[in-house]
Amino acid sequence: MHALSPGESFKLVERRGDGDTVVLTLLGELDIGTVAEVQQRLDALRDARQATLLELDELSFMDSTGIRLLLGAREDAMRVSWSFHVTRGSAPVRRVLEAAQVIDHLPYVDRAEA
Amino acid sequence: MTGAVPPLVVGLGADNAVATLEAVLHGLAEAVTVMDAQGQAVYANDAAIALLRLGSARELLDAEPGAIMDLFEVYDEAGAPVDLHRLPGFRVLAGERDPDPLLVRNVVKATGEERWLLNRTTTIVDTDGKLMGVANVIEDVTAVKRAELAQRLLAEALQRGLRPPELPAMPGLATASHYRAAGELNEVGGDFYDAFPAGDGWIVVIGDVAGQGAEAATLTGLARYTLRTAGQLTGDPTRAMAQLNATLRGQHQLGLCTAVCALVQIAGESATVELANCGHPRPLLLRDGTLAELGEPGPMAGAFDDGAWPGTRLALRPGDTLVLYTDGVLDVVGAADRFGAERLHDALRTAPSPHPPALVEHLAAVLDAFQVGAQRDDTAIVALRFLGAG
Repeated sequence: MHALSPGESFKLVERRGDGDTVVLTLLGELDIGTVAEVQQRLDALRDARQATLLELDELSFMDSTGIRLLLGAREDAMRVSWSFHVTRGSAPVRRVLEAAQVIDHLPYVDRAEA
Repeated sequence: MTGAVPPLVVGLGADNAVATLEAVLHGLAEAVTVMDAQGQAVYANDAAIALLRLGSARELLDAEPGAIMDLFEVYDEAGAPVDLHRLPGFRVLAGERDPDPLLVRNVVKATGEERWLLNRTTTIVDTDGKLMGVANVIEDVTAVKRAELAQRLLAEALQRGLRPPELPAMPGLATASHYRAAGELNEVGGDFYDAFPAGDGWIVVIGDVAGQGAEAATLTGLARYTLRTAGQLTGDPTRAMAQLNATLRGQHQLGLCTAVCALVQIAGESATVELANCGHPRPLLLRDGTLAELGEPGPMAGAFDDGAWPGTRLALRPGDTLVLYTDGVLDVVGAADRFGAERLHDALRTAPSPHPPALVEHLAAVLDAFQVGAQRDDTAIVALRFLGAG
């Protein structure tokens, strides 16, 4: 399992999943201070048309900058036929997606498939 | 940063190594000067001679240590004068290891020309590890810095223009608002609120644009004035939300905004409020010390082409207080966790007075007391109390 080091608020861990999928696991707090790293990596994976799964289950916090990241990637995926999926996410993530009423519109993948 | 650079090892008397090094340094675009352990300049490449406005390297090599500095006025980012001993190279000579790079505003006294220069340093040691001198690398970052300053000024100006200093007086209602922009000056968040007459009532809106900086400030303006125009023309919160969604979807880039639009209509002793919500924290109704969340949000504006933002209508009693707020309130960082909805509800229920100015002041004080460290997100709060005839 991945874990944050003491004093660390966010971490992005990358690994190869099944098949050719790149799995990005986000840990900790995804907000204005930490979103840029994920955005850059997602942009690069999109440009390479690299199938990507974003795991949101280890996030302890996410705000609207995270929603923007997810919806932006969703639109990119539809526009340029890029395989982009997300997991259901942790309770704090689901709460924020529910509040913004976008929770039913994300490209989910079951964890078992990852 | 400098810590990652291994000290340059120069073998004493190794003429070939020195000649090779000189050839490499001369070709660099960055200005490089080398000082010996006493602070005397022993080398400057072409870029350094140009940057220091010298005729030749000889002028630098013949000068007393630091004398060249007198040709310039040098300030740090905060505007405080910088003397020789704060430059990374001289800090190394004073015994410090790996000082941080120093960004300075450098004004050429002779011409008044202003540059932003990033000073870094690399330690030069001999094979025994003895300090031989330092190499200073000076990078002209004026263009980058000017662009950053321009963006900051623009964002600040936009933000000032976007935030009403106070809500207008609305007959029959007592109101108060609180707004605090997040942290750094150059990080302008996208919270906004507004109040304006619509038909025979008033529309009050609060919103939050995702993102920061000039781009978010621009979207904030677009969102606020779309809601104002649609609200005034239609007097219908649901249609105002639909228009906001359509306007944001029509933008070239993904623009997202949550908002609540509340139409308040007062007729003597009775009043109604009609709310529509696009993905925003639900407004709270404080009535006789109890608290209720109002309405059902539709999707965040700008997220999808289609959506429904049904209006919720409610009769207000004299003394009812509506509290509108942005998620920055819930997300204030405390010692162990975030502020959250529960603490917000407690703070409102236990406020000494439900009168808007006192209520908002109380909540702001509770948030201040809770917060640990720098503020991460904007916070905005608007409170409205229906006074009734009494």
